[in-house]
Amino acid sequence: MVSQSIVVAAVLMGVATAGVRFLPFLLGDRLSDPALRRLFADLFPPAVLAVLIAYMAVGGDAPAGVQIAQAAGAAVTVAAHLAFRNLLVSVGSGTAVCMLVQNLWLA
Amino acid sequence: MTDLAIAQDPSPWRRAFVLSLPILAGYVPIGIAFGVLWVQQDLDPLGAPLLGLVVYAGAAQFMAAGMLAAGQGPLEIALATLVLNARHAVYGLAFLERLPRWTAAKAYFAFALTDETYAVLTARPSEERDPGLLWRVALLNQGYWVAGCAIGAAAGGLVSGGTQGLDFALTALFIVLLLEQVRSLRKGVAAAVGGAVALAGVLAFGTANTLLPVLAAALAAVALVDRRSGAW
Repeated sequence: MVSQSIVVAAVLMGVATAGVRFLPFLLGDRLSDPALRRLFADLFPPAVLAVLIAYMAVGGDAPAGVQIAQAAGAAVTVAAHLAFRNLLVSVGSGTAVCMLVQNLWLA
Repeated sequence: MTDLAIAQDPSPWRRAFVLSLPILAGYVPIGIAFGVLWVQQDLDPLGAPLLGLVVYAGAAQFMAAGMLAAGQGPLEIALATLVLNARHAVYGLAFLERLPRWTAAKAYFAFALTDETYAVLTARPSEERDPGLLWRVALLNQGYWVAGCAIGAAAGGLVSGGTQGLDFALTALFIVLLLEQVRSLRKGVAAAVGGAVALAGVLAFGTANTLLPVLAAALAAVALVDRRSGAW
């Protein structure tokens, strides 16, 4: 049996997450400007991804070994995707290199 | 499978599966990483897939594992989740025209619209954005995520070490989704502007509690640049 605090946390987290995800659908009719929708559909997705990657790349107080491992993983991910354009290969090889470097560094 | 082949495939589930393959490759290892981390915090293993089902938000789930292990209360965790996931409040705008009426499928799609689902569905040409595909892709993606969480939670007790860096799969997935998104000059400029604003924001103010304002600044900058260079 899952503890009560975990269940309560899960339900409250679910409500919070669903609330923000439902918001644009609930306000939809008031956001009919085509230019605004084009921004959200075309230009904001790559911008959002770039922001998230930037936060993951430079965020936190990770030790040098972790940062080097992440940089190596990112380089391999990009190189693999440009070479093979296969997501499984790209994510798998980048993650494997990151894990390898990080575990060797911290060993 | 080529874009044309995907568009011509009559089976909506098959098309949805092909579209969701990038997420499968990312969600399963990241879900496993979450499940392993969850169990290693001495939390009930069943809680990992439960969060995957009820919350379905990777970053918030990783955060919750740490906060629960540190003794934080459910309300504090929910408030932190609200702030962390506030960026999702804009994602649905990209799908309003394809989902004009409220149905159970639309409600589920709204619930399950994660960063990755948003990215992979907005990367497709508009003619492939069949409304029936949206909820199917979202459902498959959540299935991958919950499966990863469950596998990680089940195996977490058996893993004694060597998993450091597994969570990089999420960063790698974002990198690949970005590479897939940037297929035009306008989108490339949008990514460059967003990344530059984020780097400036992180270097100036750090990462603690700054994601939401930095994201807002980045999107405002993208809109401004787009308006000033309407002839791209």
